[in-house]
Amino acid sequence: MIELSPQFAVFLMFSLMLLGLLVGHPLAFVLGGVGAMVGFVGWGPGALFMMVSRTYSTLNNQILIAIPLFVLMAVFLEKSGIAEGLFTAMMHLFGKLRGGVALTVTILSVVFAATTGVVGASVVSMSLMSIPVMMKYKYDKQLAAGVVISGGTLGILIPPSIMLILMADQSGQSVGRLFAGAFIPGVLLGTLYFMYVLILALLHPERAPALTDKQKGEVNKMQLIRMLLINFIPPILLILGVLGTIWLGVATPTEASGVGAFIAFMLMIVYGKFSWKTLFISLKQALVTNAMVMATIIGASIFTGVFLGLGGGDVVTEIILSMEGFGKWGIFAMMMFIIFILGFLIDWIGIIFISFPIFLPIANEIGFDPTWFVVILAINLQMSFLTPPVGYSLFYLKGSVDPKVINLGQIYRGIIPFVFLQMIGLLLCILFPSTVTFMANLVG
Amino acid sequence: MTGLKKILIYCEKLIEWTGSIVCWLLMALMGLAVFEVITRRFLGSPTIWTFELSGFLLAAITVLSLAYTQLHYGHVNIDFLYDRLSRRGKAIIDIITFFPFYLLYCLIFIYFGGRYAAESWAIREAAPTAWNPVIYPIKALIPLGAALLLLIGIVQLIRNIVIAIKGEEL
Repeated sequence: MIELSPQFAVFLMFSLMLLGLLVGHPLAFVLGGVGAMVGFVGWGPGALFMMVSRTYSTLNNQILIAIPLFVLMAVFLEKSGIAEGLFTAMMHLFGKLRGGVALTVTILSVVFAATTGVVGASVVSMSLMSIPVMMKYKYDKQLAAGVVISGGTLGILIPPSIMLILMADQSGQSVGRLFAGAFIPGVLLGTLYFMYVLILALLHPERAPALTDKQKGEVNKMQLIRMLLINFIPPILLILGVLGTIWLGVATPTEASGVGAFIAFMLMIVYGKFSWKTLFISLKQALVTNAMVMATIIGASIFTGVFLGLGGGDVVTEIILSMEGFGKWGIFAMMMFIIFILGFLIDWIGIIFISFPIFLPIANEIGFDPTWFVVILAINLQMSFLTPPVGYSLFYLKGSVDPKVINLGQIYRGIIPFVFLQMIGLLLCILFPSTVTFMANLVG
Repeated sequence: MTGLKKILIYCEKLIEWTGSIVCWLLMALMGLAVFEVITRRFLGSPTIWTFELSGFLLAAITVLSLAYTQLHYGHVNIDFLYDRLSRRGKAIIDIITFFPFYLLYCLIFIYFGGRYAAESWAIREAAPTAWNPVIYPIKALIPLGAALLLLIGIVQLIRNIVIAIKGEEL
């Protein structure tokens, strides 16, 4: 065992982590490995034993059960083909409008964001569905990339979101309150994207053209209404059912997620998409997503346990409190800045584990509303998903599109206007806390 | 070489098989949540065991699917630098990073998780709840899951070493 000064421990842990991440090793193992290494050297094996035993309670945590179940719900819903049906229907509806396809992507993202709660899933499925269509009709590539990434990323913010579930677990607040608090900010961001695309399409029709009747094919009004109803009603009912029962306190998040998954499963059968093979593929897909999230949770909890144990928390607190001269908003700005910077490196799981135990007591101390504060962090975190160079959403899109169609440079440039829109959204929620607290207080 | 190749493929099949089995537990977890809602909300006669059993299922699903996820490279990573490397360059980087990160992650859960499970096993530990289930088998799943993760990690390590040396897949 070697005596490590807290400052040195912070430096060591972050530089080792950075090294591991930049060479492309999985986040879960980097976090766990660095925690183990530094913990073993600076703290001794006893600490590691303690942390492994803590993993056991993480593994059968009652709140986290909602994570695999919401993932399952999203996968079943995706396989039911409702999203594709809705996409086609809305394309006919908005097709004659300039930027119609991009607008469809944005609306669809808001609706389906509420059913996924996993960034990777929503960005990938949205991109597979809409990028080929937008390319076919000569949409601007940067705009196409921007709407898909920004819309798909809303999935992590608009409830039910697994990020908010983990945040509830780590902050001791109820899942229902956080779900309610994040609702308006999520819809607000979606509205900003929608207006941006609308205005852009008016000013630059060549970047987001309207479709002619010949391009979108003929569909009469009755058929269109039927398509819309068939594909719009089920997801809306599912969302309202899941969120409503949690908000009204009728169901726990675990129950709601289980029933939600079950209903999505039934939809898959009703829409004629069930086969044993599809079910098997869905389950395996959900298994991988769940394992990825949980492995990172485990790694992050070891990293954070060691980080806090070696005094890293005090070092960060000191940095934050150095802004005390600027009042509580100085401290607030510093915390937001740290989250934003961390967002370049590690994903939301790591950030929640590292920042919550340090930030929440400070926020409490200076009198911020706890629900508001956590939701603001959530908005900031989802922004970090799409800020270049390291935004996970950017890579999800890159992974699902041929680089000859849209390359990384175009993705980077395409997302910039949306990052600004997010900053506006974040600022609005900071200036008008009622955007968050109004719904949260309704839930109680 | 063919002997080695056979062993590697056999190990990968084993891990694939664990995923194929464990994924059905998700259906059980879903069924359990629905069952809980029906018994508690509609029939008014909640059971004492669904709640805890769901927790055990989450633990089992998670630890037993870590290796399956690694087999399909499902653990999230940052690849914007990594992707620019050649297949051989990736293999070399993977060999180097295996030891400080991956191996350590596995070993910690095999060693300390094993000790933790052994202590529990020695006293035949049961949860102090109304249902009072034994929990040492669940705790034992942690080192087991980590051992599977290590197994697939070693398989991939050997494949990477072959690529690094010979420049081609085994």
